[in-house]
Order: sequence, then structure tokens, then C-alpha cells
Amino acid sequence: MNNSSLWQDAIRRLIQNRAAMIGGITVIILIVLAVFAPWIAPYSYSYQNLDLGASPPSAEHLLGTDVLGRDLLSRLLYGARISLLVGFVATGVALVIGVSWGIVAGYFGGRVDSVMMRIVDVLYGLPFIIFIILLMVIFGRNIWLLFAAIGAVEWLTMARIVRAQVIGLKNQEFVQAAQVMGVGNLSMFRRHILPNILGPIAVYATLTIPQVMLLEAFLSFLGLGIQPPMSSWGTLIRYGVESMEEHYWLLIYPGLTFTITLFALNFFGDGLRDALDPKTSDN
Amino acid sequence: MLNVLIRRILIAIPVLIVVASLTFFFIRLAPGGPFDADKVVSPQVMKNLNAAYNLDAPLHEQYFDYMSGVIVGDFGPSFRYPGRSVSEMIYTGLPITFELAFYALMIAVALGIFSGVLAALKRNTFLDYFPMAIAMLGICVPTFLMGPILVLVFGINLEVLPVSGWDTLAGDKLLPSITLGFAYAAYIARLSRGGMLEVLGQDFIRTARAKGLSEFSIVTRHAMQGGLLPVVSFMGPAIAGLLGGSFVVETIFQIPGLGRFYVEAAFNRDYTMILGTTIFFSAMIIFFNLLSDLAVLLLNPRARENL
Repeated sequence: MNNSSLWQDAIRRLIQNRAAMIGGITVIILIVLAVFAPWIAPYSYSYQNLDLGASPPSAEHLLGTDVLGRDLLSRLLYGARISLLVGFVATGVALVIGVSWGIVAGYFGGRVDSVMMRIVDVLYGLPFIIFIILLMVIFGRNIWLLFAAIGAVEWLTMARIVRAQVIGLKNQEFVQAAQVMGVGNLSMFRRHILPNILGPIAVYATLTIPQVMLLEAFLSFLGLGIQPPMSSWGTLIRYGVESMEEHYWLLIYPGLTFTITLFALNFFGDGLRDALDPKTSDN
Repeated sequence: MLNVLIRRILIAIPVLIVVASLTFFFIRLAPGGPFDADKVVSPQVMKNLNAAYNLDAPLHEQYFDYMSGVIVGDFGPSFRYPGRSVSEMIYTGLPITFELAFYALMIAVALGIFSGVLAALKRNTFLDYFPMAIAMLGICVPTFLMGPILVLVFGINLEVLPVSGWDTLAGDKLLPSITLGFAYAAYIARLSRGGMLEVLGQDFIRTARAKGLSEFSIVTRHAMQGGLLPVVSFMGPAIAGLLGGSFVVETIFQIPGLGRFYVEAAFNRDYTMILGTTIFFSAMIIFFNLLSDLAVLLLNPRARENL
């Protein structure tokens, strides 16, 4: 890429932003912990010690155990795999749909654009949370279906952002020059349009991940998301709420983990936005 | 203005019909009949059951029967609760959900606008950083965590407020309303801060200052009208979000509202109840979005010019 100075500037600004850096490092640590969970976790996520039952944090079980005597730390580590996987995969789905939709609408303009964007407008007004619940009820609580359903909901804003960017690019000379030279549509998108809108896409994708994780946790909390024996952070919070009166740690630690993760992702996303586009920054 | 209204309504009606039809046929795709989970019954009883619920008619007839019922507000009988109709359950649950959403919205708007405007006026001071940090907290701590924590602190440890119920004990509406409203207060605070900062830097505010108007009337009469527009356009999506939040809050606090009915129906696979409430929720959300778009048009002359 020959616009490396933009990215170099952005990285320099990002490194100077302390909140964003702490957020980014936290996210990386979480990803590493999640990937290596089977080796790091002191116990298996399904290992039960029924004699022990629910026990408060101790030397053997750093974060305590749940009602079935399962180690909470291990379950949190395994839960991170599911929660982060949902976050990244569903965001990926949203990214693919939203970027393609936005590029096509913005680049071709005219009637194509107005029909495509009207569809987005209409979809914006629908209660998607209800449709996801509906899908989960009809097709069973399948984790891959959950990814697809959440991704299929979150692409709308991405499509709008990408479209606006493409419209700005379309009339620039290098795009027109490429058109005159007879560059085909696909390679136009890939070589000339996409590299120039990577910034906004990266920013919005980073900010979509926490939203997606929130949606998954919401469904799992209601019992309509991830099903046992697998557990996401949302499921753990659900179990924590059920027994919070006697076993506060079962709510506090999963809740804290989830909140810190959302904080980290949001701070990193905000920092990335400020770094790539200093104009939108408040300060 | 009237044109826009008519055009928007003309779009909303087919959208609603498509949503209702899709939901209807989707539900039919679900594996198994509605009575499969019950104890084994003789073929004759099964046949009578299907006849009673109009399931033996051809699909297109079922569809037209159902849709013509929906138009007059009849969503058919509940599969799970014999003798109760879906409409009846909607009408008993809806007032409670509305009341909850109304209180939550009042809390969100009052708290959000106050702290957002204050933060914009006292930019880069403690009065800016502190409310904005709380707002970040409100966005990152989800409703399903906020609710239980409030219950744990105020209901169980301090024992000052009831932990569940609606309209049964004094003060039992407080915790659910705060739980539901807090996240939206946070969003509104951020939106109004951003909007106000943009407006406060413009020339007409400088003119108002030069005229010698008091700071109070500059803010309330000149800046807020433009600065709070983002909040007004957020109202439509916020009301849609409040409905989703009511699923969680009504489940946590055991409130007999429409949100809890919906979650229960999803668990019980009460297909007619899911179908009816989905159509009903969609209609309401489309209506509120329409309302908030129109409010923006009324308040913002610039948006009207671009039509």
C-alpha cells in the first residue's frame, strides 16, 4: 500500500492514546487466554466435584466453584472462547454483507442505490431482537445459526458507512482514470475502492464486536442462546443471577470479566477512530 | 410535510404485511406440531385438536383466516394456555410493559439530557469527565447485569427496596425502571453532549451572546433546539430497544408484562403467542420509528428542505 504514511500516523496516534492502548492490550491478553484455554485452565469446564458443591474463592479454585462444584475460572476461560468467537465471527458475517452491499450501492448509484438503501432503511425499523429469538425457537439453538443471525442483523450500519465513503471516492480522478482504462468492476472494488475505505471499516468493525457480544450474552441470559454443556459469559451470568443470594462470586466474576472486555473493546475502537480520523475526535 | 407522512405510511403498510406473512410461514417451518410435547394422545383426539385450532385447513386458507383476524386485532388462541387468546394476553401484558418503558424513558431522558448538556457546557472539567465516565459504564454494563446487581445491593443487602413484583409492594417499580432506563440515559447523555458541542460553536450562539442574552436562555432557547436533535432521532430506536430490554427486566423482576410473556412463549414453543406478539411488536416499533422521524422533520427545517 502506498498510503502507508496515513497508517503510520494513525499507529503513532493510537500508541499515544493510553486508554486505547490499555484496551487493546486487554483484548489481546483475552484472546490469548481464550485460544490457550485448554492448556491454561486448571480444570475441564465440565469437571464436577459434587461433594464440594458451591465454594467461595480458595487456593484450589481461585474464583470459587459453582453449585455442581465446577471451577469458575476454568469455565470463564472456556466461556471466553465462545463469547469472543461469537464476537468475531458474527462481526465477520456483518462485515462481508455490509461492505459488499455498501460498495455496490455507492458505486453504481442511481436506481440500484436508491432501491438498496431503501431496503436498509426499512430493515432498520424492524425489531431484530425478536426475529433472532424467533429463529432460535424455530431452528433450535444452534451456535452457527446464532452467529449468522446476529451477523445478519448488524450489517446495516456498515452498509451505510461504506456507501457514503464509496460515493466520496467515486468521483476522484484515480477512480475515473481506472474506469477510462477499462478496469472491470470487481478489480476496481478490490484494488481501488476497498484499500481506501479500510480505515472506517476497521473502526466500525471494532465497535461492532462489543455490540455483537452484548447481543449474544443477552440471548444466553434469557436461555435462548448458547446451550449447556457449552457456556458463554452470558450463560455464566445467568447461572450467577440464579444463585447470587448465597454465592455472590458466581455473579460478580463473570459480570466483571464481561464488563471489562466490553470496556476494553469500546476504548480500543474509540481510540482507533480518533487515530484514523483526527477530525471526529472531540478533544 | 403531509406528503412525507403519507409516503412513509404507504411504505410501512406493505412492510408490516411482509413481516407478518414471513413470520407466519417461518413458524410453520418449525419442526413438530404444537402438541407434540404433550402426552401421547389418540389419533382421534389429535384430529380434533387440529380441527379446533384450524390446523387441518389448507395452508393458504389458514393464512388468509389468520391475516383477516389480525386486521381486526384477533391473533387466535394460545397453543399452551387452552381457553386463553393471544390478544387477551397482549392486552393484559401491554399496559404493564408500557408503564415500565415510560418510567424508564423518563429517567433516561431527564438524566441523559441534564448530564449531557452539563458536560458540554463544562467541557473538559470534572463535570464533563465524571458523567461521561458513568455513561461509558452504563453502555458497558448490560441490563441483565445491572438489574441483578441493583437487586443484590438495594434489595438483599440493604433491604430498602422490593426485589421483584409490579404494583404489589411500595417502591417495587423503582428498581426495574432504573435498570431499564440507565443504559439509555448513558446513550442520550453522549448524544446530547455531542450535539450541544456542535451547536455551541456556531455563529448564532456567538450572536446571542453578543446580544447580551443570559447564559441560561442561550442554552435553553437557542442551543438546545438544535443540539438535542440527535436525541430526538434516537427516540425511535430507543423505544425499540426498551422493548427488548423489557424481556430481560421483566424476567429478572418477575413482572407480568408482555416481554415476559414473549420469553415464556419462546421457551414453551407457544407458536401462536410468538407469532402474535412478533407481529404486534413489529407494528409498534414501525409506528414509533415513524413518529420519531416525523418529530425530527418538524423540529429541523434543514431536514425538511432536503425532501
